Amino acid sequence: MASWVGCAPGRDARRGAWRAAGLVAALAAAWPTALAADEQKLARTAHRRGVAFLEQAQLPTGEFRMWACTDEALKDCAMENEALITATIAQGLAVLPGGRAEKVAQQAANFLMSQMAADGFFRYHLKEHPLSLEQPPTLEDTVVNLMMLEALGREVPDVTAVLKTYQTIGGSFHLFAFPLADLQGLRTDPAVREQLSLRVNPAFVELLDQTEPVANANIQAYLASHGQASEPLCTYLVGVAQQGLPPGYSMFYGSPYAFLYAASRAWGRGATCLKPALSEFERRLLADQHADGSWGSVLNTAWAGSALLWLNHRSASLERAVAWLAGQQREDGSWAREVAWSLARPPLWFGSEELTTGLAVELLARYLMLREAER
Amino acid sequence: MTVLRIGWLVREGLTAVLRPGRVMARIPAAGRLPYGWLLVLLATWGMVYAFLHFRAMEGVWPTVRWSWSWHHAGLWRVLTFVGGSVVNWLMAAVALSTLSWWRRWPLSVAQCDIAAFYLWCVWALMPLVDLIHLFGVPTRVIFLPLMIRESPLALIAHASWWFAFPVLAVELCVLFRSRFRLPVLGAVGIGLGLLAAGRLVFETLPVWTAPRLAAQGWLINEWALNTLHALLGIAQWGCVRLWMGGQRRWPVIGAGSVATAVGWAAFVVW
Repeated sequence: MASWVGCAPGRDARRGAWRAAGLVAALAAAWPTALAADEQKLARTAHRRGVAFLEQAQLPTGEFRMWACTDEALKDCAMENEALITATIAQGLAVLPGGRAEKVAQQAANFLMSQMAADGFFRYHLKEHPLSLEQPPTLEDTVVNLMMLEALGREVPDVTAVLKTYQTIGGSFHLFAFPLADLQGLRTDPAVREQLSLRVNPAFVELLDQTEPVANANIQAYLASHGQASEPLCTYLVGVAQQGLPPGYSMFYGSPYAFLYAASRAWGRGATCLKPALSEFERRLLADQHADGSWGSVLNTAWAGSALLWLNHRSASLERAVAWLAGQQREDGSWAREVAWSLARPPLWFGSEELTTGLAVELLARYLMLREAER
Repeated sequence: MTVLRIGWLVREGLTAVLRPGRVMARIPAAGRLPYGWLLVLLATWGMVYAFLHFRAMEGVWPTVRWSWSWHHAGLWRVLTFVGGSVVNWLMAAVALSTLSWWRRWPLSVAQCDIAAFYLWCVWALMPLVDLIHLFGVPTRVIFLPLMIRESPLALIAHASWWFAFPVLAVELCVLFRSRFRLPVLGAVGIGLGLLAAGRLVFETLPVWTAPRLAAQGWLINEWALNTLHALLGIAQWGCVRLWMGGQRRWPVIGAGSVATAVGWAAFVVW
């Protein structure tokens, strides 16, 4: 290289320049591979430590903890007894089969089996919660929990047929497994509202006819994994994405990446009708990535990175995300508590170290699986 | 519902003494106590408690030579510690489950039982702390401004009070904070209120009621009355448990719950 620099321009020099350019190109081509090898090592270590944290954080019943807090900083919190978080974490653990991760996931599955009703549906609160009997089953909890149980080989009822009876004319689903006919007049007739208040806790009546995009993307993922992807639901989801996922797009999730993750997963599970929106998903995800490789927070990075992996995206973006994520891991193997979703009334913010760690572990596991497959 | 291992529960209960926040936030929602093993543990430790307590506080080991009388050095009194150990846990569970049912706190019956067990662990450690009285540390007598049969009512304050009351208060406060987000003052208030009710009302109740029963000509003293209180406690626990367990049938369970509560109130007023 030094001799080339010192050469006068000429044939040899041009040849040298070409050779150097070739060398640079070769180095550039090799760089992502070298980088990927480093990131794989980082990812493997971070994944192992994350799993170890989740193993010790798991309660003997198999459940994971969630906090409901009165402040966005998640300081003034109380325990929230719900099953969805356990399924969400276990899904991440089940990505790489075998070892401690699978053991923890199987224990989580035992817990979820104990919470499932005979018809396969789940309520938001645990069976033991005082409000459990006063609320209808929740569709999002049901599909996420069932997908997780199926991934772990558990025998669970197929609820696709029943699920479709709750689909609205617009293609979307409400939050709860509640007969649509009974909701007519909810917003206009006080007698209907009063009647419904006798059937479910008044706190839930307001939510009965609400629609939530992330929940719908999860429902599509479930339907698609049973070969029953719904075209009208795709139309609804694509419509949501086309509106740009502005703040307030979801009544629970503040992050647009929660939707992009769920919708990408639906596509990855076979909802091919989402194809028109995929390039927009990918463009948005790549455009939003910060220079440091993150999407602004650990949860966002975990959601966005996993979404890219579901979309079969391959680029150095993933390595940067993984490197950043590994850098945020704490001494005990966990990632800090962050707001995953929130409620407007009463104002509550939900999150836990376990959930952040579970989603980070999922990204790392999917990344490692991809690299293993490439090898 | 997963049955929790008794070893895990004991470990958690002991950890709660030092790290109440960590333990109270780890009470599983979908686990239940192994009630058979729990009963064995409570009864066995009640017996151990009695031996340590008599040795540390009264300078004697209970022996089989003691008579089966209801009086001071009677074996019945030793047995009341066995029953008392169970009732202590039971009443804490009743208090917590009644409170959370009344206030509609999101705490299941099983969680109340587990939290009550952690509180019981503090009580269980008390005779070990009291062993320092064997080394010459004196007890203190606290006179209450109340007279029973023209005698002043007094409580003997032993060393373990200084251990148990603060720890129990902190555990209760942390429980209410970590589970229901109660304001600190509210949590402290309810915690101290429960402690005061437990020590000054529940535990002292036989001292009040026994002389009145004795005056009626019934040969019953305060230790025998503990047994009656225990039975009331068991009835109350069963009713609240069934009520919170989802079988909310007002006519039977509600009435039973109210009846036992009225029974308690009658004792207190009497």
